[in-house]
Formats: sequence, C-alpha cells, structure tokens
Amino acid sequence: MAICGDEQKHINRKIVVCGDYQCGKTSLLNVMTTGYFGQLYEPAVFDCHYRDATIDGQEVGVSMVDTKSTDEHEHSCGVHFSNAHVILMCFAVDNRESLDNIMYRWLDIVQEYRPNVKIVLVALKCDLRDDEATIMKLQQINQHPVLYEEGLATARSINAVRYLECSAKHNRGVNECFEQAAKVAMSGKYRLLRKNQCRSLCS
Amino acid sequence: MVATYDWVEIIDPQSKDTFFANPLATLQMTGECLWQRPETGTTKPEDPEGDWWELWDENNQLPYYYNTLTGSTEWVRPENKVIIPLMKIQQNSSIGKRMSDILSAHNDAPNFQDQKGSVPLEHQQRSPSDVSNPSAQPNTTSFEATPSVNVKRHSRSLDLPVSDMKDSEWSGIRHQRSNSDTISKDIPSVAATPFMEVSTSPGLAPEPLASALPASPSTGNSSIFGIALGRKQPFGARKQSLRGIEQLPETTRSTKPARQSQFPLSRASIESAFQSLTKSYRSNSTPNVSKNIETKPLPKRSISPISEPVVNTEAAAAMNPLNQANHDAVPPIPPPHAKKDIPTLPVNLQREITQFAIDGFAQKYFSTHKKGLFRRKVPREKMLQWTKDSIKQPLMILNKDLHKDALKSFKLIQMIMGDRSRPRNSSANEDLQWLCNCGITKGQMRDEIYVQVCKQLNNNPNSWSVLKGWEILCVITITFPPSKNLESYLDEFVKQHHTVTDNKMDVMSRHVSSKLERICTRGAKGKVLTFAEIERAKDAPFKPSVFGESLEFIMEQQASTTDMDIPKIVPFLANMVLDLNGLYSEGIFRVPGDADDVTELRIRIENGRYDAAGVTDPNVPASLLKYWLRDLAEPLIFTEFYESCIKHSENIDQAIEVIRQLPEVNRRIVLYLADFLTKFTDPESTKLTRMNVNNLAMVFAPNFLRCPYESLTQVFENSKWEQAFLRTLIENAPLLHENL
Repeated sequence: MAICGDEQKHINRKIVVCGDYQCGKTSLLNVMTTGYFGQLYEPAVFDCHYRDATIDGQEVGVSMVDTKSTDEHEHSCGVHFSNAHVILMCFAVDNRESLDNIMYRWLDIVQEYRPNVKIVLVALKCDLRDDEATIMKLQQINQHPVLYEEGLATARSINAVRYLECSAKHNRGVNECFEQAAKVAMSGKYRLLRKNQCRSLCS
Repeated sequence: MVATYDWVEIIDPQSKDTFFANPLATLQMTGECLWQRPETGTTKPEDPEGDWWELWDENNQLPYYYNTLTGSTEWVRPENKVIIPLMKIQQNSSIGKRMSDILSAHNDAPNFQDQKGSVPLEHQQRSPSDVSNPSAQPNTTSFEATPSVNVKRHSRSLDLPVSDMKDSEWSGIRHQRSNSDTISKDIPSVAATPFMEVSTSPGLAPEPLASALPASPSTGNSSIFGIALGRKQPFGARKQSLRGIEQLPETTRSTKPARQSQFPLSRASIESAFQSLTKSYRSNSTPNVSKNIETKPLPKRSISPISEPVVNTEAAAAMNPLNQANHDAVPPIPPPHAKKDIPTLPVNLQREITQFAIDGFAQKYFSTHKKGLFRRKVPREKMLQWTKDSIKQPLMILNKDLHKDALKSFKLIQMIMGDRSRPRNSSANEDLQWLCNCGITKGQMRDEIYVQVCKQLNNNPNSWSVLKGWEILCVITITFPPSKNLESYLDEFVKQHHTVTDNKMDVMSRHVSSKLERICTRGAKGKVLTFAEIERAKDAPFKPSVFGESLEFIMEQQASTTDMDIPKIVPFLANMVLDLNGLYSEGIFRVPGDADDVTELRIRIENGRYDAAGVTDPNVPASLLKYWLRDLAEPLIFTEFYESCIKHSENIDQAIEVIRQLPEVNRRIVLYLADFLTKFTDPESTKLTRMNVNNLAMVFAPNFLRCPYESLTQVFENSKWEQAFLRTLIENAPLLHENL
C-alpha cells in the first residue's frame, strides 16, 4: 500500500530573463541550456527552456523564460514576470545605455507587474571588456566598458539580491549564473545584497 | 473446525486464476499452493452460501473472516460454517498477500450499505454484535486488510481484465456500469458526476479511508454512524481523514447524515483505490465502489435529522460588506443629461446632483473631520466644497504615512489652481509632476488626489481656478486611474459638466471623460510625464491628437487639411524611416529609438507639426510608428477578427478575407504597411538590417493584433501565430493589392 510522504514534492521555479535589446539574453539562455553559443542575429521568440537541477540537495525543475525587449512586447513580458520567482536583469558591458535602462525602464516594468520579486543583476558580454575593438569604439564616444564596480553599484541601488558577471561566448560564469539564480529562486527569504554575497564570476 | 477435505479451490479475485491450497498443510508447513488441480486428496466442494476464509489482519494482529460470496468480513468467527484457514497462505505466499490486499481494497464499499440502513442486506444480520472489538481498530492507519469488507462480490466485477483497469479508471468504471445489474436495485444512487470529479483529484492519502472505516462493520445503523464518525476523530483519525470529512459541506449539504458521511468516505475510498490502481493491481474493487455510489436510490430527505441551511438573503446581505457597498454603489441618479438636445438643468438642481454623486462616495470612504472646541463633526458637504484654506487631514481614510503626502498634494493643487500663493522658483508643471509621481508610486494617493481636485472644483467661485482645475484632471487622467470605487462617481462628476458651456468646460469635461475611460482600462502609466507632455495634455482638449484615438476620428480630423486616404502620420513616419536610411540600418524596428527623442517627435506631431527636422536616427520614427499603431483606440485589426487571424495565420486567402471585412481606412493602412515592410525584406536590405521577414513579422505582430487574453499560456501560444499571420501578410503584399 502506498506510504504517505514517500514521494518527494516536486519543486518548480521560474526564472525570467529581461534586459535591453541585443544585450545577450538569448545567448545566455542558449549556453545555459544547450551549451551552444550561436552567432545568429535574431530577436528572441518567447522561449521557455526547462532544466532539472539539484540545488542544495533538492531536485528542482527550473524553467527559464526568454523575453523580447521591444516596446510592443512589454505586456507579454509583464505577463511572464507576474509569476516569476526570480528575474535576471541583464545588461551588456559594452553598452552603457543598457545598464541605465535597468534603472529607468526594466525596474519600472518589473515593479508594475511583480513588485518585490527577487532580482539578480547580470552583466553580460564580459569578454568585451578586454576587447581592443570595443574599447576603441567606446573611446570614440568618450566611454569605457561598464566596470565591475559600476554594475555592483547599480545592483545595490535596485536592491538586487545578487550581482553576477558572465560571458556566454566564452562560457565563463554561465553555469554559476544559473546556479545562483536557481538558489535565489529557492531561497524563501528576500535578502538584500551584501558585500560578501557579490561575486565576480568572470574576472 | 474439522476439515473434511485436503484442498480448497481458491479463485484469485484479481487475476481470476484458480489455484488450490491445502489449508491443513499450511498449518504445519509454510503453505502449499498448486496451480493445477491436485491429483491426490479431496477438494472441498463449493459452498452455495460462499466459503468463509480466515485471514489475518496485520494491523490489529487479529484474525478476521471473509465470505467469498458476499464479500463481507467479520471480526467474529461465524458459527456453524466451514472455515478455511488461509492465514498461513496469506502470510507466506505472495498470492495470499495479494489477496489480502485485494480484500482490503474492498473496504470502502460496505460502509455505504451499512450506514444506509435502508437496505437490509444479509450481512447486516451477520454483522457482529460486539461493537468493542472493531472499535479497537481506529488506530489502523494503513488500509491493508481492514476487515470491514462486505462488498457484494460478484465475479464479473472482479473479472475485469487488469489491463483494462490500468488504462484508465474511467474505462473501468464504464465497463462496470454496464455490468452492474446484479445489485443495482437495492443500492441507492447518488449523483455520481460531481462526486467523481472530486474523487479524481489526487493527494488524499489512503489513511482517511482506513481511519474512517473501523466503526462501520459494527454499526449497520445509519443513525449511529453520524455519531461514530464524529467520535472517531479524537481517536486515530489523522488529519487527512479530517480533510475528507471537511469536504462534506460542499457536496452533501442538506442530505441526511448517513449520506453525508458516505460522501467523504467513498470519496476517500475512490481516491485511495485510484492511487492503488496506479501502483499495482490491487484496485479491482474500484468499479464496485463507484457503481455502488451511482446506483443507490436517493435517501429519503424527509427524515433528515439536521436542519437544512436556510437561505436568508437579508442577513447575508447585512453581513456582507461588499453587498452593502453594492447597494449604495448604484447611484439612483437620473440618466445623465449628456445629450445636447436635453435642456440644461437648473444650476441648483445640477449642483445637488453633483453633490449627491460625490456624497455617496464620501460617506463610505471619507475620514471624519472634526473641528472646533467641541470637536464637532464637519459635515460631508463642507468637506466637498472648495476652500481656500489648507486641510488638516486627508479627505479619505489613508495610511498614516501618507497623511503628509495628502496634505502636500492639496497644497499643490491649490497652488496650481491659483488659490494659494506660490513660492518663488517653483512651477506649476513641477507640481503636476510631483502629483503624477505620487499617484504612480502610491496607489492609495490616487483617489485622494482625484477627490481633492473634485473638492476644489465644487462651488469654486473663480473661473480661472476652475479652468486650471480641469487642466489638472486632463493631466492626471492620462497618468493614473482612480480606484474602482471612485470610478463611477468620478465619471458622473465629469459628465455633469458636459453641458456647462461657460469656460469651455464642456469640451474639457468630454475630453476628461474619454481619457478617464481609457486610463481605467489600461491602467497607470509607468513614467512621469515630461514638461512637454504636460503642456500637451493641457492643450489636448482643444487640439485633438492623432495618438490614442480611433482611426475614424483621426480621419475626420484631417479631412479639412488633406485628402489623403490614410492618416497622414503613417506615410510621414514611414518616409522618415526610409529617408534616414532605415533600409540599411542594423536592427531597424527592433532597436528602440531614444525615448526622449521619440517623445519629442510625438509631441511635435500631436501639436500638428509634421516636421522631421533634427531627427537623425531612423529608429526614432520607427519606434513612433509602432507606438502609434499600438496606441490606437482600437487595434488595427479588430479584436473580433483576432481569432480568425490566429486560426488562418498561414493562409493568405483567409487573411485577405479577414482584411476585406475591415473598414476602409484600416484596410488601406494594412496595405500600406505591408508594402512598406516588403521593402525591408529585400536581400540587399536584410544583409545590413539583419531583420529578415520572420524578425519583422515578430516585431510588428503585436502592433497589428492585440491579444485579448491575459493568461500566460494563451499569450505564449498565440504569439507564434500572430507572427505567422504577419509574415503571411508581408510575404504576400502584391497579392493583397490585387485582391483588395
């Protein structure tokens, strides 16, 4: 006869990725799920990846949702936010605007659809920090790639739970990013970012 | 009991296999079973009344007795019967084990009959008189071998092929229904459908069944059962069993207790049976159970010992705060005199009506203000009238931490309206921005701000101040909506001014009405308006916009200035994109234009200046074009056609059919845009823009079609088809031309 409680309750967690156009959300998810980095230029379709993981000894089904950044998809983005456990806000280090938009655009949208959700700030394309061409290009408009400290400061100001850095192209920090996001999604309590919790996984 | 035979023929109730056991041998040895009829020794002839088997209940460590014909079980050894001791077989052989499980799976059924009481079945006469014995059972937490089985065992039910059962419980049940004639007469029928629905929900552990059962073999009387059930709880019933019983009011209210108790029990039993179904072959009894439920005659309601719930609407209404609100919320106001042909009401009467509308709201949501030495209550009418003084308390009941904001907002409103002198270095627009921000971020403040403005517009002696007040309304009605509670009152308040011609109030109030309707469906804006936007909002009543309006209205508007057959903003923006080298700029339509530039261009167009000067980025007009489409009062392809678009997303003929049904303006715009987008699918262009037809279709789909659904799965599912529809349109643009 069936013994009650022998089956472990299956836990599902939903991670939604958002951020400016072309900051590498889809690439990040592609590498996270398939390990393949594609060079295709394609605005993402709403994609849902599913992956099983063991976080702190517990089986978790993690679904990762990719969103489109264009204005007209804001609503459908919001629909996804509304039941997310954690939101990965992404920006590209070679695009300062994408970092600014975290504050000015994405935070607003997230707040509207899902206030008080746990946010993880992710810096993407970290390999471009050392890329000569990128540095040159940014220098022409009197800019430099976004620094770790700057990202961290933004993370603090938006009350992010974690600040992570990774490069999908070189597959650096991607798995850690996934793990951390899943962990945050699992953790019940809402914790603020403290100094020792930030990690630079890339550098 | 002296055995006069060596072998007993046993039919495995589950597999229908016949095997032979030697009970005597089992007493001495480990139990002996044969599949073939043994050659030596005598075989016990079948008893017409059914054989009695002695089986072992592991949980209570007691033997019990099972009748193969009636399926009943007894704690007490039946007298004058031939008893086949199968305890050893049960304990030692796998067949025996399974058998005991099967028996236990029958457990649920007898209860119905026992408690029913109305059907005198044979087993009731045989039911043990000793109540204490089974009542030792409540500790049973597993339902294995609980000896309360007295299911009518008819071979047919047990004959059901196992595979059939496993396939789905439903097929099994259906099967059983057709076979159910044997006992259908004396078993009451209970509406099975709602019940079955409940029963399919997983998650109820088998325990409730077992713990709910023990009382039953002994009772056999419906009236006792109710008590027994109640009493049992303190004993051994686990929480789960409580759950089962808690279900009771939902399904079985107003039936007699015996029946009430059947429900949770049988529910539990079916569930547990289903559970076991999935696990092993044990659940042969499931169809029995369900059949029993289905076929029982309805119990007589007249003898119900528990009074049925009486519907007392008055009391319910009195206790329900929501209802109270609803009673008042229907304002018995005569239909608003919005139409032009109705003569204006006398000012006094009009005022009274206004008063009434706002007053109804005030009564419910306003805080009480007290004043003077004796702290007398300030009458509501007073609170709702223009004042040049500041207020000492928010008008509405607000959280403590918002009081300061409320007082500040009132001061600002007075300043904007010119009722209070303004400190230097401050501007009305800044104050308006503060109000907007306050409303966007603090939900509670929204109504407070609306009410404060209404208050200041009420009985205001200064016409300049009134004008400014309406301007505030113009601005805040495109920024945040009032709450649902206030909505109807505010609407009423605004409508009352539709007929007031002095001070251009009719124009303004109409504008505010339409904006109010829009903001209520769309929700608050995310961003605070810029100064330019605020200025624009103030002018909006007198300079109609091309944004956020219906196409019909836009065409009417431009009819005097141009003879173009589509809104001129469309070709203007499209040409701007092309002029600014949009055909060869990477990520055109995907990359958003700079937000400030887009707003600037929008304001420019709203003010009637179709002027491309100063814009260098093709993404700015591209973004604005998409925004204009999205912002139309009605989607370009009407919502009523949404479904057919999704359905025929890849069929151009059907798509043409849909588009043909649209009004002419919409059709022309669709054509124009399809043409326009085709230019971007040129391979030369896609090489640089990297926006192939799929990408373009995806970006433009939500601008053409608006998904009317809120649910995640629908939005998710449909976005694919929306994209496909757009792709069909773009790829077949020449075909569209021919056919439209």
